[in-house]
Amino acid sequence: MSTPHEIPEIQSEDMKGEDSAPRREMIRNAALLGGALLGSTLLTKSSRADEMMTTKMDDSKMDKKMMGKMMKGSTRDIDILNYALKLEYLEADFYTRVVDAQNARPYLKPRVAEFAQVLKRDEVVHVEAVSDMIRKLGGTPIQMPTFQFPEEAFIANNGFLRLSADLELTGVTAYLGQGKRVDNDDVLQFAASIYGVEARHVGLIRYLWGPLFAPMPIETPRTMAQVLTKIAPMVVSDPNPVMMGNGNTMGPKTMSDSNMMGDGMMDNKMMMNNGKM
Amino acid sequence: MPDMFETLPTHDAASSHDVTSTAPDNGATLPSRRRLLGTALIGGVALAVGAAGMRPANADLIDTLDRFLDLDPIVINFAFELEELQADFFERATLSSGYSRMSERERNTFNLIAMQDRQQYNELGKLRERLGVKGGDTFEYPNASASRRPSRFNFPDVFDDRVKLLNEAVKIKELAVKSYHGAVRHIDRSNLTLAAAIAGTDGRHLAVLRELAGMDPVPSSFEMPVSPQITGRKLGKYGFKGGGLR
Repeated sequence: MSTPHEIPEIQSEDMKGEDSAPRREMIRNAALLGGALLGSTLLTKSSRADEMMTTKMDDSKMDKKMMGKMMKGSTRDIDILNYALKLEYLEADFYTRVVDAQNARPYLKPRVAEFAQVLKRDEVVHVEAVSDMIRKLGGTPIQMPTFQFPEEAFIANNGFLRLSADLELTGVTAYLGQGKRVDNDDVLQFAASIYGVEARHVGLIRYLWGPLFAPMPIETPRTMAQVLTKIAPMVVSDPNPVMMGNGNTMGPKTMSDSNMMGDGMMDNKMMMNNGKM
Repeated sequence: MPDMFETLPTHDAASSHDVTSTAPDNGATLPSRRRLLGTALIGGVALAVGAAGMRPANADLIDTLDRFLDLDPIVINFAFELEELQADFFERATLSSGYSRMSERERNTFNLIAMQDRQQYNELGKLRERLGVKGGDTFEYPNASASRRPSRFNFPDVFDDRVKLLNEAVKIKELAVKSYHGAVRHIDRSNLTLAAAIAGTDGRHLAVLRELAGMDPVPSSFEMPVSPQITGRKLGKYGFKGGGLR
């Protein structure tokens, strides 16, 4: 399993055997991650944030050249990564809550529950990795906003799959929409490595859910503004300057601000339609 | 800074390469001098290497030449041939006895992938036309069904066995996904979106194929790139030429 702090190096050796770990190995690894949550009640926001931020993968293979080395990063690259970080926070928080809910009162089908652990693993790792990359570029990672999700995702198997698919697709379209705007090639490679996994996530989630796992032959990019508008109903409060999608910012955003701006609440169906699943 | 009302096409229209030349007519619509020189040099070197019988010529060139040349024509041709290989494999798979032994869900998956790989091939073909990319072999029997046209590629003897077929499908799709990620740095930003959009769907394909094959669909939190040099060599066993000038 790759480390969170390493920009994926182009492999120069044979890749035989890289991805042949059987599912039981995956489950064991995920269980180690989730083991800390067994028997726990729903975490408070602050403890959930702490748990997310301190979950670490094995970094024994960390790329020593990259750690501690400040890279040359453009302001735009830092902004794009902070935008990505917001989405990773959203996904990581969601899956952490899902795993908590499942542990408290199982409601997911077995294979779905297994994969929810993987999703949580990946998104938590992505939060760390993106934050690290931002620091390496000389930037400051945004703080984690407070999110809300439809209750259905924590009590119904299909409710979870529907929202999960939507969130992952949002991530895919977001990364795809920014790729050509990234200045630094290392940052681009890094972002692509996350994008690729988000795409796998969408495929498997939709496969487990039942609908066509790939409705289109190519993914659809979305602008920053489109994505931020889409996720706005899930952001209860955000201590960071608001990303307008045009480089301008305004003060921290609260749910009351959202209502004043007319964002309103979107139900799952609306989110699905907007996401063109 | 991003435009709030920026709209993104599904794939990038042909655009003139970023002009880095010092030509006095800055902003002209001609491709940059760098790109013209690059294309000519690539053509010359590839022809020489091809004549020497080295294969896959262009995969080896990509890593080396990208340091100072525009490699988009080679990379696009690489991707074009890669999609052709995938489409050919999955189309043939759907006609095989190994396929007939699959579950309905497995068969539906292969049908979908075959269709979409062909669509991706077509999209790359349009991009090549738009950019005026030459070289690479075009599909020789465009109107023949998979059952009647000879294969351009050398697939192993897996089509009669469901498990072997699934495993080979995973291998090919894995190579494809890693090839795209390995080429990220080599593609001009203006052409990146289409390649990445294809890679995304191929990632979905791969996850589901691995699931069907009883493998971990997402073994790593990061998609690992593999250099075109490596993937070109691995794909060479199928008769893959590197997608370029022969």
